[in-house]
Amino acid sequence: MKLSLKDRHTQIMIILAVVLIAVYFFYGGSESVTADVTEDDSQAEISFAVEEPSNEISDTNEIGEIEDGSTQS
Amino acid sequence: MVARKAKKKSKFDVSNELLAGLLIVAISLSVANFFTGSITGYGTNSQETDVSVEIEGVTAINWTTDTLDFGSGAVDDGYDEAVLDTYNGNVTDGNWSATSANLTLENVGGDYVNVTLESNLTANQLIGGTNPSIKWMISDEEPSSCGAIVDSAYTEVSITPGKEVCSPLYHNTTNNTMTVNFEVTIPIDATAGNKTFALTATGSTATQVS
Repeated sequence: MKLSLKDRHTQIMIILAVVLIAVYFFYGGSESVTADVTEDDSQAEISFAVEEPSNEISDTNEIGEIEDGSTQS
Repeated sequence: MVARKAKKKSKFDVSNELLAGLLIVAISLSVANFFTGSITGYGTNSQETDVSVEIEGVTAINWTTDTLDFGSGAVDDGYDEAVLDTYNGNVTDGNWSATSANLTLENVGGDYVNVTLESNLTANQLIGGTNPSIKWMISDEEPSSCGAIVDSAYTEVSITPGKEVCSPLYHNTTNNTMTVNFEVTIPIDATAGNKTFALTATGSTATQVS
């Protein structure tokens, strides 16, 4: 088969090829990459309050004093 | 009819010179791109390329219940410590309100995930005093949600880098939820005041076994 630039089919093929090449260059020949979404964080909160004990036991061993001046342990 | 066809054909004619020009342009671009690999009409940076992203699955976890408050209280007179236990729902030797509330974590994504828990504080840092303790216990909220559970009995909480406690947490709607219970031991000489600590759950995509 002899190709001629005057032939209609040859013209169509050439125009189509030029258009395809132009589109390829315009969009830069993109590549596909798969993104891995592999991790997720979530936060919870735990709370409480600590009060001072209401009646602490004293460590002091007090010595009582009797009015007559003697002592009682 | 023949005249119409002839007219149509003549409309479509392209001159040889134009075709030759287009060919030269296309071949020139191809040759230049072959050697430089950088001719595009889209990017401004020669190293730039377009990237299409395809997300195959979503790894996502969420605390369905994300707060737990034991309220305020003190160790009872005459005792060395109080113990707050959410699993048994009781308080021993203290006047905090007993609660069986716990934290619930759900796999809301489409992937199996391995769950790692991490506390931001130790018991000593949070509570102070003599032998304080914060323990967690992991269990299934919905049956068979976790493939394997670590710390299925009360165990002291882990700080950085945390501990993998459920692997994997499944994503099916009927078995994708796990529970964290707490046992907190507060000694009589604990520092008074408000105490708050954070528990971070990290879900990492796990390999799905079919």
